[in-house]
Parts: sequence; C-alpha cells; structure tokens
Amino acid sequence: MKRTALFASALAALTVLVAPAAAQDQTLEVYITGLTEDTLAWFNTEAAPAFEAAHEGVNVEVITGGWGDFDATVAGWITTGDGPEIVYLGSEYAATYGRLLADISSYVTEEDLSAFLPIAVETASWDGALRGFPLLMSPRPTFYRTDLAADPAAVPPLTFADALSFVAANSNVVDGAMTQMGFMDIGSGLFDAQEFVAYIWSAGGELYNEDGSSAFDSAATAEALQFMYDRRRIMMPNENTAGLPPFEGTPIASNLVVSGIFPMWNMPATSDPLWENIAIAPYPAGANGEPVVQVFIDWLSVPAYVEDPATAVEFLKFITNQENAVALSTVAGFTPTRTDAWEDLRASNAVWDQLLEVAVEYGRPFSDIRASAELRPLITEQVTLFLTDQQSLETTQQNLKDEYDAILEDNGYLG
Amino acid sequence: MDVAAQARLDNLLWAAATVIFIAAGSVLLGLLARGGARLARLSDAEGRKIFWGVFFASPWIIGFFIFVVGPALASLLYSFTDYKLGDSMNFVGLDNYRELLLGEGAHGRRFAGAMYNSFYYAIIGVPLQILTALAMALLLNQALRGVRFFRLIFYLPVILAGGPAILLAWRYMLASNGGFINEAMSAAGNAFFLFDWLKRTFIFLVEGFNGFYSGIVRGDPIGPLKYFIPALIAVLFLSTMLRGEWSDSRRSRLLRVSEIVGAVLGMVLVARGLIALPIDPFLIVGIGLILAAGALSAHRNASPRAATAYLVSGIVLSVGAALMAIATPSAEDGSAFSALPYLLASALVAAVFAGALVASQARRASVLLIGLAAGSLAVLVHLSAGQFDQGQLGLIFQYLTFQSAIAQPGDLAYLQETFPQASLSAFWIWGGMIAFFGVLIALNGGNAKLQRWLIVGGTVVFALLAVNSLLDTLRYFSAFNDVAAAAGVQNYHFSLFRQATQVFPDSQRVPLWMSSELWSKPSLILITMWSSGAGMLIFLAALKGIPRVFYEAADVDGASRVQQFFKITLPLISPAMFYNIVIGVIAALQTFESIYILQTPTTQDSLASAAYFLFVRTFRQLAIGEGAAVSWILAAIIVFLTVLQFRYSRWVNYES
Amino acid sequence: MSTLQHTPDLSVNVRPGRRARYRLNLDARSIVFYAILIAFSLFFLFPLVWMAGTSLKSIEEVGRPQLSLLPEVPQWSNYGNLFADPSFYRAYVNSIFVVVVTLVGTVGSISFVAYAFARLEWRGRNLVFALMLGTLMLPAQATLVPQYVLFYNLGWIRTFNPITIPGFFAGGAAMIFLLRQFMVGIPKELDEAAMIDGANPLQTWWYIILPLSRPAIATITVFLFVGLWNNLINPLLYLQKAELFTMPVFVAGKFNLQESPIPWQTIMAASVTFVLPVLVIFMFTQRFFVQGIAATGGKEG
Repeated sequence: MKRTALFASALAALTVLVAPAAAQDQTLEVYITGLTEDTLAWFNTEAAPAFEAAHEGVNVEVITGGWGDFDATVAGWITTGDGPEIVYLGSEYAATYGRLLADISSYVTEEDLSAFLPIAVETASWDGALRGFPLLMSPRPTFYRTDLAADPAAVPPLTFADALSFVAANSNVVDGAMTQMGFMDIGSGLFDAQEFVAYIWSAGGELYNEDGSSAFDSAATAEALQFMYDRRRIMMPNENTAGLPPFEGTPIASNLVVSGIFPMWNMPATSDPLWENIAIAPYPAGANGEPVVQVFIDWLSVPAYVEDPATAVEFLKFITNQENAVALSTVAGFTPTRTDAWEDLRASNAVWDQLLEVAVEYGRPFSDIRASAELRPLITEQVTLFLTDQQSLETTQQNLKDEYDAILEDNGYLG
Repeated sequence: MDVAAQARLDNLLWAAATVIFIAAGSVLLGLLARGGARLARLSDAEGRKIFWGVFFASPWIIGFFIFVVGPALASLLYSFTDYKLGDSMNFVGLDNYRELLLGEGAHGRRFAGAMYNSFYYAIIGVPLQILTALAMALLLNQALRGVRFFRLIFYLPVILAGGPAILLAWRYMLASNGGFINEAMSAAGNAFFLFDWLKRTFIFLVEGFNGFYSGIVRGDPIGPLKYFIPALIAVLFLSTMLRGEWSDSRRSRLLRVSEIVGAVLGMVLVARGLIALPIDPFLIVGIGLILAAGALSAHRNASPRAATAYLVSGIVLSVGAALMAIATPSAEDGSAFSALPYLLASALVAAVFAGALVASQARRASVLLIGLAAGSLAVLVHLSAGQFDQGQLGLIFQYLTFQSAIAQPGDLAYLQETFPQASLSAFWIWGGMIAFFGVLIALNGGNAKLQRWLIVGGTVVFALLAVNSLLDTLRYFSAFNDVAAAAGVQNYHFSLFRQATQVFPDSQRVPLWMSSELWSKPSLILITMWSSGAGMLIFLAALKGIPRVFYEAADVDGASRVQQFFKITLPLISPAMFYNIVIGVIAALQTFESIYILQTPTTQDSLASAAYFLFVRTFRQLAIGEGAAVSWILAAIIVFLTVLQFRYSRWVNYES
Repeated sequence: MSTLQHTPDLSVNVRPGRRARYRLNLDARSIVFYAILIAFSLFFLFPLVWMAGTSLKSIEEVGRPQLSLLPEVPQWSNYGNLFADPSFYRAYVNSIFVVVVTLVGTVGSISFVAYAFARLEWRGRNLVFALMLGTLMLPAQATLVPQYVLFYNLGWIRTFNPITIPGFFAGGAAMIFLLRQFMVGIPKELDEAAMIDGANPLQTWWYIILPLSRPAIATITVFLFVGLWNNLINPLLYLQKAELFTMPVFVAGKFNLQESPIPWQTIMAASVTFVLPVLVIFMFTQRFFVQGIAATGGKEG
C-alpha cells in the first residue's frame, strides 16, 4: 500500500509543521505599523514583558505590518469588529477613522495628558474627544549643508523667493545630468504629496474651507504649486534630465545634496561630526504665510469594537509613560511626544535640542487629512502633470478642487 | 505561544472539516441526483450511473456554487451600488459603469489611464513578446544537439516571473542611477563610439514615442487627431477591397474582418453610447441597424443559427434599453428626461427582430430589409433635421469640403474648450457604421458594379475626411501655439514629446527606467519579453507540426530560406500566432504582480493596468462597488477576446 | 545536475553519412546558431545570476554603481543573518505549509473530479463539463471582491484558510481538463474488468485509475506548485499578519520597509532562498512542464 503510506507520511509531515498550541489568558493584541525591527524587538522583549508582569493574566501580543496595505487591513478589522485591541495610526488618520475609534476620555485624567505636547494630543483627538495616545513624533525640518552652500549667509532661506535663489545658486547640471542638487525632497525626488500640503500651509493657506469643502483653488495653493514648479525647473531644466550619480549612505552626507527634507532615520547619526555643518530650519514661507515645520505624530488608538477598553488604555498609559518614552526614543530614532521626556535628550544632544526647538516654534502636525487614501494619489497625479508641463496651473487647481470635493462628498465629509 | 503554529493547526482543522463537508455534500448531491433520476422515471442502472457521476463531480460543483456563482452574482449586485467597506450600501444604478466608461471624475480618468496603459502593452508589448517567442522557437527548431537544454533555459523565466523575487532583482538591475543595465550601457558606450550612438538613438526613440503617447492619452484637446486614425483605417480597409477579384475565400475573409470591426464597434457603442446620460435614442436604432445587417449577412450566407443569434441579441438589446430608460430617474436639475423616445426606439427595433424571428425563412430577408430601410430612414431624418448648419451632418459636410472647423483661431478659451466640442465628436461612430453597411451591401448584393461604386465612394469620402482631419490638426496646433505665445502662456500640448525630441540625447544620458513615466512602460515590456517562454513552447509545437515535405518541395522549386519562412512557416503557424496574441492581450489587461513590485509613487499611474487599478480601488481605497464594476468590464472584454479566439482560430490558417 | 549531459557538444553535431561533404558548411552554421542560443541564454539567466551575486555583496558594495557581477569578498554572513532571523524561518515554514496543504487538497479533489468527467458516463456530464470549461473564461478579478467579503463573513481574514481551502474544491479548471484528457486515454477494458470483479467506482478510481494516472498527476502537481509558491496577491490580501506571512509577502515586505539605503544584499539573499526550490523542482521535472503546456495550450498554473 504505497499510496496509503504516502498519504500517511504527508499527514505526518503536516503535523510536524504544527506545534502544539497552549491555552491562554486575556490577550491584548497590539498592531504596530511600519517600525524598524529594532523597535519591534523593544516592544516584544522589553515593554510587553514589563506590562505583563504588572498586570496579572494579561498577555500582550505585538503584531506588525507595513503602511502599504494599512488601509485595507485596518478597515477590515473595523468593519468586521474583529481585530487587535490597539491599533497604530499615522499622523493624518484621526479624520479617517475617528468615528470608528473608542472615546477614551473617561479613562484619562487631565494629569495623564499634562506632559504631552498639545499638538500631539490634538492629533490623537477627534470630534472633541480623545481617541488614543500619541506615541512618537518626528519633526521633519529642512536640513542645510552650510559648508557646501554657495553663500553660507543665505542659510536658511525663509521665503519662497529666497529658497528659489538658494536652489539656483547650489544646483548644477552637466551633460543632461544633475551633478549637485540644491534641494532634495523626502522621496529623493522632486515632489512629495506631504510636502505640497506643507507649502500650502506655509503660504498661509489651508486644505479646507470653513464649510468643509476643498480649498485647492486658493491663492496659497497656486503659490505653493508655482514655487515647486520653479524649483523643479531650476534643478531639472528638462523632464529628461538624469538624476544625481549614485552615492553611498545618507543624501545629506553625500556632498551632492546641499539641502533637503529628510526624516531622522535618513540622516547621519547625531554623533556624526558632520552635524557641525548642518543647519536645521523650517520650510520657507509664501508672501502671506509663516515658516512651518511639518510634524508627524504616530499614535496608538483603541478601536470602537473593543468592548472594554480599560486594559487597552492601561497599556497606552504604560507605553507612553516617561520612562518608556525615553527608552523608545533611543531605539526608534523618533522624538517622544512628552516634553518631560525631552530634558535629558536636549541636555545631552545638541542636534535633538535644535530639532525640538524648531519643532516647538514652527511645528504643525500633519493631521486632519480627510480621505487621505484617495487624496494622495490625486495630488500625485495632478501635481505631477503640472510640474512636468502637461497641464496649466489653473486646470491643475480646478481638477484638484473638483475631484477632492467629489471624494469628500463620497466619503461623507460634505453634505 | 506561537501565533503561526496556532494558525497552521486551525487551518488543518478547517481543512479536515472541509474534506468532511465535501464528502457529505458529495453523497448528498449524488443521492439528490438519483432521486431526480427516479422522478424522471429513468431506470435504476441509469440512476446509479448518475449517482456516481454526480458524486465524483461534486467537489467541483459545490466549489463552483460557493466560489464562482455566488461571488459572481454578488459582485454583479455590488457593481450597481456605492458599497464602500465601512459604509452603508446604496443602489446607484449604472453610475459606476458610467463614471468608469466615460472617464468621469478622478477615478474614471484613472481607469481610462489604466486602459490606455493596457492598450500600450497590447500594441507595443505583445508584438515584441511574440517576436521574441518566435525567434526563440525558430532557434530551438534547428536540428542541433543540446536544444533541449536551451529550451529549459528559455522557459525558466516563465516559472520565475510570477514571483516577487526575480522582479525585485529586475528592479535593482533597472535602477536608473548606477543600476547594472545603465552602467553596462554607459561602459559599452565609452568603450566604442557606435554603442554610444546606439544608446542615444534608443533613448531618443523611446522618449519621443512615449512622450507622444502620453500627449495623446492625456486628453490634451487635440481635436481632430483622434478621428484621423479611424478614418485612415477605413481608407486602408476599403482600398484593400478595391483590389482584385472576389474569390470565395477572399470574400469570407473580408466578411470576417468586417464582423470583428462590427463587433468591436457594437461593444464600444453599447458601452459608451447607451450609458451616457442623456442617451441618444437613435443610438439604439443605430445598434439595431448593425445587428440587422449582421443577421441579414448570416441569413444570406445560409447560417440560420448565426442569424437567430443576431435576432435574439437584437431583442435583448431593445428590451434592455427599454428597461434602462424606465429605470433611469429623471434628472434633478430640471433637464427633463423622457423615457418615451427610448421606448419608441426600442419598440421599433424589437418589432423588426421579432418579426424576422417568427417569419418563415423565405420572408426573413425581406422583413430585415424593410427594418433596415425604416431604421436608416429614421436615423437620416433625425440627423437631417436642423443639423446641416451646426450638427454632426454639417460637420461632416464641412470636413468633406475642406472647410476647417477652426476657420477663426479665436482666443485661447475657444481653442481649449469650444473647439474640441465642435470637432466631430461622434464622427467615427457614424463613419464606421457607414463603412460597415457599405461592406455588407457590397459583399452580399450580387451587383458587382454597385459594389465597386460603393467601395470607391467610401474610400474617397474617408480619404477626404482623413486628409482634412490631418490638415485641421496641424492648423490647430499652429493656431494654438500662436495664440498661446501671444498671450504669454505656456503651451501644454505634447510637452514631454517636445522636450524629448528637441535635442538628441547627450552621451552622458542613460535610460531613466522606473524613475520616469517615459520609461516605466518600456521597462515592464522588457520584463515580459524576458519571460515569453510559454509563447515559445506554443510556437515550437506548431513548428514541429509542419510536414517536412513542404520545405523539401520548396527546396526543389528553388525558394530561398526567407521565402520559405514567409510562404510556408508563417502561414502554417498563424493559429499559434493568433492564440499567442489573444493570450498576450488578456495578460496585458491582467498584469499585476510586476506592477505591484516595480511601481514607485511617480510611475504608479503610468504603469497601472486594469487589474492593478481594480486592486487599488478595492483594497486600498475600499470602494467595493466600483471595484466590482471594473471587474465586470474586464470580464466582458476578456470573454469577448476569448470568443474571438475560439471563433477565428480556424480561419487564420485557412488562408494557406 | 542531470542537465549537464545536455550541454552542447560541437564536435558531434554532424549527421552521419554527410560528414565528408557538409562538414565545414554545417559547422559554420551551427556555430552561428550556438552563438545566438548562448546570447539568448545569457539574457534569460542573467537576472538569476545577478541575484545570486548581489546576495553575497556587502552593504557598501550594493550602494555603489554596479558593474561587477561577483562580490569583492563573498559575504556569507548575509545568509547567516537571514537564517538567524526568526521571521524568515517562520515565513519559509508558512510557505511550505500552505503549499503542501493546498497541493494535497487540490490534487486530491482534481483527480476525483477528473475521473467523473473522463471515465464515468452519466446524464448531465456534458453540461457540467461545459460549465467547467466556461469558468476558464471568467477572469479571477470578477469574483475577487465578493470572495473577500465571503471570507470576511466566515471569519477567515488573518488565517490561512482563504489560501488553502478553496483548492479543496477542485480549483483550477485547466488542471481538471489536463488530467481528464489523460484519463480518457487509459484503456476502457481495465475498469470494465474491475467492475465485473465487483468493484464500485470508488474502488476503481483508487486501485486502477489513480495509479495509472501518475504521470499526469505529477504534471499538474508541478504546475500547481509553481503557481502556489509564487502566489503573492492572495496571501497579501488575506494574511495581514506578519506571523502568517508566506515567502512572497516576506520578500516583497523586505523591500517595502523603505530603509535607506535599500539593503539589496538581504533582499536578494531572501530571494535566492525563495527561488531555489522552484529551480530545483523545475530542473527535475521540466518534461512535465513541456507536456503540460502542449496539453493545455499555455494556461500554466
């Protein structure tokens, strides 16, 4: 009976692949999105056991995923009412998921929140109620290489006009290829959707009108678009201009990029001597605006399907307490959102000190972005058409406005 | 506690439960079938056979209902709603289809973009892929030692290309800055000037072509250029018909070509014409006319089944149109929508087809002819009334007499908005219909003289239209340039094309691959060429099927290798060719994994295929209703292509 | 490697009997052909070689302009680090698990169903068979969305079930067709004799038809294996949990981490381990692929 033997061995092989499953207590599932492996390891080996030790019978389980399919994943849990007790959200998500998250205000006292940066608490709130705890913060300023700049005195340019002259003075194209870039954006390209929003703000504009409709037809949007267009044409005279030659390590340390917007994980370590030549500054502003630094605040929320949020909120308080905030900031390379966790950091580290100073003075959280999953591709498509000369400024603004209004209406943000 | 192990155990339990479920279901279905057999008074032996048959087939039957029929019906239902995960579901009628097929709004436009991308893969990628496959097959068909080994290597990419690993390797090799391919190209160019020149020519051609392509599909108001190409095709088609005598095989070949043209035209008409609001009731009559002509042609060719199929689909069409007219809510903004004209038009079409269906075989032709005449009269009257001045008939007249539509260049606003509207919007639809009728009448009537006149006339008309359309396009661009320059405004037409063709690339230039929309589609095509081994095996099988005697006879006749290839090999492998083309086009619509892995935020839109758009819309933006509508549009196109493949696979090699 | 014996050997490429007259001529021609064949082979094999080469480079080397295929110093630690990563090990086991379970279910049920279409005669068979062939035309995308909703309602999201269970219902009309064509060719007398001996169809299937269909079952198994092993979209849609990720999602995910500079050497090392089983299986079973393509007309797994 060879075949029977074959089947039996297949079955046996399958059972080997299946380890015995143990019974368990109350499980607290924590969904973390897009953090580095080191950070995840910290959650698993430090934070979870500590919380379990303090809370008898609670089993913390950290699961993870990327930002790519975040929307589908989270919406899936929320619609089925079956998912983790704690969900990690990006800066802009309060508008998208706010109504589907538990109101945890009643579990939290004023005192619990007093140490947090106000903009961080605001990011984690929706409809006047707290929906979660801010975990990490990442100010995203512009960095300038003062040693490479043609005119160090021009650093930092704080208006669109100055920024354009700065980029013009520091960019070179030889034989149809860039050899030095006066500015590089976060996607190592020449355009980014989040950056576009930042320039609308720094030009004195907003994304939404009073009535909730899109304000993409505003003069500030036009100014931001024109600024991005001019800057692109300075560095890339023609759409077929080739990019910089490849370089090792971070862009700012390559000596090919004079300024740029980068997250801290794409910058040299703060102990690097190069920092002596790096200036930290807000984004330039338009004629009627003020310089801005975009601040990204990742937060942890409790979805509304969780029947008893008490334990979950306990965990939120635990993971964001002063001690853990400091610990997390050292592994993750992000800034804590509690000001009382900054002291050591600021005292011991000049870079962080400057960074936080800029963030406090100019910081604006990247929050309240409605229907972001549909807005982002729309911005990418329309702004690219404008930047690559395929569409006029007026048409671009009109399309952005009309289509974002339609999206807002589709998603129930507009009457 | 290991989550993965727990999940594996759960899965095994589910698998065991599934096996039990299927086993029980199989027995149950088998018993049911036997019970049915008893009720139908079949013998016991017959009943037993049915029991065993259904018992064995049931795993598939049960799965068919759970995973195909159920979901398919549900998806059809969703496609008529605005269902979004996490929201309530509302019935919205044809709104999803309308938005997608007419390219309305952000999503409609992005869908249109995805269809244009798929079209690009079909017209540029598929031929290149087939050429590669054919070249490989011809190489492997040589009587050489070791071809089996090479066959193994040539086929290898096919099994790898489905997975993410090799696609990532490609992505790395294609990096525009310092990726292997670009470095190798530069190194070769530096080593020998001819390679450098080749590289630059390659860059020039790819960027020029892709710039032009994106200019066309961007919806630049390019006016008549859109109609130039259909008119050119009509000229070519009619002038081939002018040539030579009518042998039987030639006649049937032309009939089939016109059948395909008619089918495509009909689909586009149905998809776009009937869905637009307000619908023109005469479109219903127009489609009815095409179907009637098809029925007449089938009838004259003594294929009653095909004729009946045409008649039935005509009735289905008119009933559907009538139902839609009733179901369409009247517009809120007061532009009163009246169902009456639609009902009348549908009734007219339905009456003709029903009449033809019940009439005796002998009378069928005359019923259809009367219907055709009545329908054409209705369309003509409709077109004539008040349309000679500014309507479509007037425009056609202006075109034929070379009176340019842009007699007055006007201002920028006129050129941007009024002119595109005033150019022949539905022109190619009407033009195509006229061509189609011309062909049918020419092929079916016995009057050779009339045939000739119709074809000559048609060719002249289309040639005039094409010439003027081209002239008009040129005039339009120069007028636009002048006005834009005078107003000091940037000219946005075909700007990528202009930039790409202004100067010949510098010797330092390298292809930009995944970092530019001018290069993203060629990159993807390179990868599909790399994995075209499946097509190669099909060609190889076809090549092996060609009897040696053919070549031996040709050798005796002194035919050269090249002649032998074109006169013997190519005709005999044409069924394989046709099969590969259809499969390639279907694959172009469904490309997913490679786009998922290769795309960057900048090139995502320029790469997206229909299937990728479906994925983004459904699973990233959670618009289930619209995603379902996309999937049914895709399904319709694929079924159409498959039917085409089945129907014409014989015809292709029949030519020899 | 069994394939080495097929390596072209230029010296023996002359048909016997014609050697004297055509030797020079034929050799020149075949050298040209071999040159072209080898050029094509380089094109087809290159990405694979590149992948293997990169997987041994250091992170600094990977960031530089790339022209050299081989690493300066092979970094075997790339693999060491990968094997030390529990999530890699887990994804690999998950992949094997999913493929094995699905293969058992799919091949088992397909051999069952194909028997009904090939060997049994019953009223309605042609109708059901035509329906089955008809599903070949329906694109997978048409049912993707409601299937997702269906699995939702079954509570199957974030489990392996959506990947493995549908296979148990004889998934894959092309494969049923392929096996059925083979089974039709088995001599009728065999199962008639079994029937006379009192065997019922279930016994006939198990004792007669299954053993005789082994080559065709092997063919569909390798086809299904390649399709399942490479499958990215279903695991991507349904697993949603790092602990359940299979290798395709793991490999794609390594890339999506957005680290800078991109750790290509790690990604390629993971890719090599991912591609290896497919390569090995392909080497040993390539004749099944050729047979399968010839039988189905190219609709591979």
